Amino acid sequence: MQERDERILEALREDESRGMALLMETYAEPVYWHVRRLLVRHEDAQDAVQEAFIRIYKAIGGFRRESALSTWVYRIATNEALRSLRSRRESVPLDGSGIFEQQADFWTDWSDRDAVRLQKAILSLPRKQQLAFNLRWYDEMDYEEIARITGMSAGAAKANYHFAKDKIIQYIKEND
Amino acid sequence: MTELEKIGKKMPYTLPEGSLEAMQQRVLASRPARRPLWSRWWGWALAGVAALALAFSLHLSLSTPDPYADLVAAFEALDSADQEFLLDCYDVENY
Repeated sequence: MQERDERILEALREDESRGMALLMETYAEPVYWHVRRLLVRHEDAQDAVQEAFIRIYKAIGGFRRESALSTWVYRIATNEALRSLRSRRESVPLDGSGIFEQQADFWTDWSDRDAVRLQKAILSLPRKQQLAFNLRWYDEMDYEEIARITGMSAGAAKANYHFAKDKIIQYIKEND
Repeated sequence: MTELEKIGKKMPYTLPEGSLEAMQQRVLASRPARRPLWSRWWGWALAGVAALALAFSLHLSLSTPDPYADLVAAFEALDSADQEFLLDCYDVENY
């Protein structure tokens, strides 16, 4: 990943738009799925990811390498997704159990019942547990990186992941 | 193996074809066009001319001849007795 980020940063130094295109080719898809798991609806995820990459494009000249490029990209995208969720709160009840049904759109595949059940289980969790679980389970990040993206400590990321996993297993059992 | 492990990373979501490519185009188009190089050079050139003008005017004001310079030089050329005599005369005239 480090080597890939170096290539992107090198391309950005030579030609900003070519570097940005390379950055998006690398990160747009995983970041989209990360945001989609939080927001469910395709259009919302697309808007949040687009806004995140526009912010990244504007700020990329000031990227200080205080964290890995991937961490920085995920952090901005996560913040954008959380911003979108906050703006949605007025129209969506805080109880996570019904969010999947409410937000599911044409781009939701209801045929895989297990996959639906897993997403419902994830969406029923508190936000920090959702983030810790998704970043560890799907993106295979270590706790340090999850901590840098979410702003929690590495210990809290680990605890949140394990709480989340236990609750998900329980949810799946109960909703079989 | 738990039920969770059996499900793995499957998701009930699909991604409309071409949507990421279209998003990439929109993001790349969002960057305000940079001013052409000559335009940026023109700005720097103007700033340089202004700095030179300021330096020149400072130099002029610093190098303006001091009207007392000859007088001071002549006073310094006198021996100390003559300097004191002149100062005494000056003081007397001023009082």
